[in-house]
Amino acid sequence: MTLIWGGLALGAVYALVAVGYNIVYISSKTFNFAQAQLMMVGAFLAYTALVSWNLTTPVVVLVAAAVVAGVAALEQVVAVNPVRDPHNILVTTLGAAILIDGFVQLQWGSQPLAVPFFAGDDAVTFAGGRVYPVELFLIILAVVVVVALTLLSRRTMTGLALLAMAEDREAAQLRGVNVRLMAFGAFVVAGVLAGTVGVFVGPKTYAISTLGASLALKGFVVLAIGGFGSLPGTLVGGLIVGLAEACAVRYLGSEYAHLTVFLILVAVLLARPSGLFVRVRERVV
Amino acid sequence: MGLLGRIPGWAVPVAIGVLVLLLPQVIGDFSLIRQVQLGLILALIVSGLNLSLGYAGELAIGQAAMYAAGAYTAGLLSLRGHTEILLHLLIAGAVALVVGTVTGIPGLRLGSWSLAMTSFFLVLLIPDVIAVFREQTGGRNGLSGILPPTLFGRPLTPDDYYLVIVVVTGLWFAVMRNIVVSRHGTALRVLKQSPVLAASMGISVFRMKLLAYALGAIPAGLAGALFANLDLYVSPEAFSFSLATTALAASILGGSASVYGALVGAFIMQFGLNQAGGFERYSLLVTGAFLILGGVALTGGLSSLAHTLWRRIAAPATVPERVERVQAPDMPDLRGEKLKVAGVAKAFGGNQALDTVGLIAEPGQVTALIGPNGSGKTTLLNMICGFYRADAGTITLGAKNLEGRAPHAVARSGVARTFQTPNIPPGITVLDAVMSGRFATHSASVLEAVLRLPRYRRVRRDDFAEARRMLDLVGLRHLEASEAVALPLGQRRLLEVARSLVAGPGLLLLDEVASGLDEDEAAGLADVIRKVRDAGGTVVLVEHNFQLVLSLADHIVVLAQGRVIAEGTPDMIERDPRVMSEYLGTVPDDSASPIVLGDLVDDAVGEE
Amino acid sequence: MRLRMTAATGVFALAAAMVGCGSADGAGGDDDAYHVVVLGGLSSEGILADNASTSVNAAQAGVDFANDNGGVVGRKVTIDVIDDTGDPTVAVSKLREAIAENKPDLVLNSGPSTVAEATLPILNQNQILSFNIGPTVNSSDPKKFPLNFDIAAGADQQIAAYQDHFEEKGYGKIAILHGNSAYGETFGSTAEDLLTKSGVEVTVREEYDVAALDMTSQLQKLEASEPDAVIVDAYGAPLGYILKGVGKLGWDVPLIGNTSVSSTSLTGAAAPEGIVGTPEAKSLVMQVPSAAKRDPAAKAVNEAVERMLKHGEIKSSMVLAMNYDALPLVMAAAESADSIEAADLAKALENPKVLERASTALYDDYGFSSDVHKPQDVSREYQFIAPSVLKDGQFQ
Repeated sequence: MTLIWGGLALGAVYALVAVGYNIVYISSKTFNFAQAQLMMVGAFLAYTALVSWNLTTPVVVLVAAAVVAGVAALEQVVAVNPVRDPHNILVTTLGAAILIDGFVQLQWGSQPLAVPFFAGDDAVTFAGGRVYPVELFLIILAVVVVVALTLLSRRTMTGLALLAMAEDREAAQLRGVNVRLMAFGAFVVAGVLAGTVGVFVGPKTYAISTLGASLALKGFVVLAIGGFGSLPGTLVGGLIVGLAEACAVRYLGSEYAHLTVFLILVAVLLARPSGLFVRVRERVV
Repeated sequence: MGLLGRIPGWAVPVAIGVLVLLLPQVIGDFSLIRQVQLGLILALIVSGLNLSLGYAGELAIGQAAMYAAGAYTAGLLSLRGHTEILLHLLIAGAVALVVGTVTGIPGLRLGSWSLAMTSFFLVLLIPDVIAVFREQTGGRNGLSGILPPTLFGRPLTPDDYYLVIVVVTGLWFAVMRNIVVSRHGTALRVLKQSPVLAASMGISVFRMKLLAYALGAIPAGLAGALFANLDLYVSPEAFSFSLATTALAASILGGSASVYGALVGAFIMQFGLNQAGGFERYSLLVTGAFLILGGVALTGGLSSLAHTLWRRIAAPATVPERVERVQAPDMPDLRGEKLKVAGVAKAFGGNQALDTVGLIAEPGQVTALIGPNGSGKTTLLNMICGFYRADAGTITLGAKNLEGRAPHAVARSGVARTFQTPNIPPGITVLDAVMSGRFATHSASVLEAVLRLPRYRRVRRDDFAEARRMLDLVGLRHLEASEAVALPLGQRRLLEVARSLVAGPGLLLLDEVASGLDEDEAAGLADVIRKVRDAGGTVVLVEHNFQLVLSLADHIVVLAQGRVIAEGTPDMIERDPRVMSEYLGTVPDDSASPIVLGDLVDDAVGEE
Repeated sequence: MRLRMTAATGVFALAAAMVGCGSADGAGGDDDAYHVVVLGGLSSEGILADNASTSVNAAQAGVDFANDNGGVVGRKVTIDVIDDTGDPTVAVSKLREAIAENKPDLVLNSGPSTVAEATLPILNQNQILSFNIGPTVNSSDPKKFPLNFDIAAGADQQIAAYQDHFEEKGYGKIAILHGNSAYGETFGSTAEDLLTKSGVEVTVREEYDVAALDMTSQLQKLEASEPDAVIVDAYGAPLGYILKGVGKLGWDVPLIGNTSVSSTSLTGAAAPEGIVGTPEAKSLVMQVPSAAKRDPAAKAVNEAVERMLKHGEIKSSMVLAMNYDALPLVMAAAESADSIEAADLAKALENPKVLERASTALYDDYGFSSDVHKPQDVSREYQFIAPSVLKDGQFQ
């Protein structure tokens, strides 16, 4: 059970990265490579605010969310909005990711920094396994975020507009949806999410300048398994990847962790080319 | 201008190649030589990436894995005492080809994002795979003890080896150029423009993509062998994610859809980033900023920028001279075949798009398919072409059963089509665009294309002749050297018709071929269609322009709500009250002329 | 297409110009000087950068020491720093460039071992004396690389120190947990071999991915094998994940870290930045060379620390200050051989008397011989200490 909790917690982190990818993907059919890096910035801000400035957790969350949203907005304006060729967006957001890596390394150095968690850092026994409070919190956070976003997108006008854009950008534009504003807004929302989540990922993984790179690809895989654009898919994808990784390491050896995840990815994609939660549409012309 | 224009296209690259070859004699500076070597090796990787990204339109960065495969192959060969560099290149290229093919199949089967993802992951797996085989590969500690390379048993000095790298790179770029300017290059552009278009031209999307991806593995494998013999040491770090992203950035910067852009991009990355002396602390910042700037400012890469500039400078020289309009020749005989659609049904979810539809189109006749929006015309067309699978019913062309075949197989059995919005890839001439219609039906292999073997030359000669004949027919011959996408809509439609006819199809499907055309253009188009009919072709016309249909069709089939509600000669259809009511929703009060009907339908151009 | 190539030529020329600029700032000049080059991954990604900084700092301090004490047989010593970014390919490029410009008399390799693997053949080919911190399989073999000396103790010496520690504590069953870095792999397999040979039972040897974010799975595997103690190789965040994992499992087992563990900043700082004084750190001891433990009586070491501080902050511990000793070794060897030729110096460095005379700070006697070019019998110079506050490269 300890193994499962550990796998789930990490899976939740991957899923939260994938949710960030999805928000941007749904709104503008682009892929923000720097999403995991934004989360990393959140973790470092949490360290500075909690340890150096001695702020309380709610204030820290606000600060991190606001600052990271700002970074994401800047990214959108500088590296995404002016790009015309969609291929290039992958490159420019990759550039943004590397830029953030470099900045973080200059600003916070390259050693791991421990980020405290508000509910304490002592492991507890829960449902037959040992687990840190922060790990439980991350699992709950992932579920809450996904449920809340799903409800929001179905119940509010903004959400509906987003879904409309995902279905058909031009049609949405014709019906008065401000596509540019929505795309910008999506980055900001993804930034708020990354900043908030970063505050709680830090206590699990430390604030470390290679965190973004570690999370980015796993988030990508979760997205592929769950399906591009599917919010519930990210939860299931995170669950699968997190557990598969933990079990592969435990029973096969650490060099098989990536291989196992890769095989699952290929298997899922072969069975369901657009992921578990997205249906292939037949219309082509 | 004229002088510049007369230099053959390959002269400049060859001259620069010779220059690079002589570089050590000219400048003895060691570090420059070293950077050039690494730059060339990177250029090989980028060139492979360009084949799949720029030409086939698939984002895949698995080249790093093939590079690793090449490097380890060469290293392991050397450790076993085989130091012959030609052997290394041959086997490394082959191993990379195998790795590319095997890893490409699952990703390509699924298409864009999946391939990107599996290839990203492939790069992540490199160190793991190396670790699993650490007995052979040395694991994380790398493979050391590689012996210096030999050529025909003669040891190579560093200067000799420099020449080897330059020559191998030069040869690859010659091969690359030959592929790109060959019919395969055009076919790849077609594929990148639209897989649907490619399939309907008889190109197997999957096989073509695999071809590009697998071919792109070869230079990466060569690069790996060259690298292993350069440093005589291989470690997993050399094949990291950052190599993959560097190659990607180089590809984008240089221009993915260009042959020599790979060199430009690779050299910028190699010199610009690795040589930012004193800036190492800020190297991540510089790299990141560089990627953003490059991606934002350079759509289409530096080569596209250069191309545009060149046009500005050299454009006056290439203005087409006025060509006398030749009298369009008569259509050669077309062996049209009888299309028979019987009892076809198709539902999307709960929506019955087609319900037991039957249709017969005879050779030497124009059969028109009309109906209001959403009546299922385009669905039926897509079903004939093999894009949708019918729930029930049969579709046959002559003696061949089309039902259940993949789109490219349908096209190969003689079905050619045009699109509502002309679908023409950018970057190719009118002549190339027409010739591409023959790619699938009259084939020559990549190897034949690369080596320009006799069969390739013969097929190519026929391509030219046939394409020119079709251009004469549709009256576009004088524009054969213009860029195809730059033509006005009417001419692009004619171009599509020419492209469809060039392979001598048994069935020609024209989808909304007159929409957006003015009267003259529509009349010209009607002339062409009549010629096709008179030459014995089978023509199916899906059309909104009722006037055109009435004047052109021999037989009209009317669809409404997925059913055939009427069929017959234009006279019969024009007077059929049921057609009127279905078309307009109500029976017109005043017995207005059919022209009103036609006009109303015209307004509803567009998507179904 | 033509213009594309024209553009390429332009870029090419531009790049050539950049290379010209880049290479203009070599040390050069004083032909009479003893010329040292130190390679270090100052801008490598992640935590390795701090190590490189300490190594380079130590080399610079060593050069100061030499110049303050009469130089190398009277010659002034100059030093060039090459940032190899920890990447073997870059290291080869820059080293070759340096050799072409102004052939160094001595090269100090700050690791990692992949850089050593890539550069040693070049150094050998150019007959350049070198000291190396990142040991490889052959780097200390005089038959393969007669002019190279591994200046950092190999895994064998460190493990020998472990054996003494185990005997003292009465541990008979040991599990090993190590990273999949080049050093981690070597350390792990060497530890397993040597311990098994010496009669210690190795219950399980487990590897982890240095980029992983959770170690619970590996630790569960170790726990299941019921060892008396666990040898841990970890550097940076993975150490934190291991400690967290052990805490989570509630597993009460002594963890014995290697020098990588003691080079991690977490072990040198109090909470919240580090783990000093936290419950997680209670079961952890780690191996350090004596030089990394503050001792007011150790004059030579303290002098080294002072000299290093003049070149900037010591970012990681004195574990990585081995480059400092390269200069005293060369001075003694040059004096004995009355030469600065690489071959003569290498021969002199195999002489026990020369080594004894060298005023080295970190190890008293490096024990090089004509059979093996790495520190011998230095296991007694190691201690096992609990995490404590690190100041100026030393645990207080």
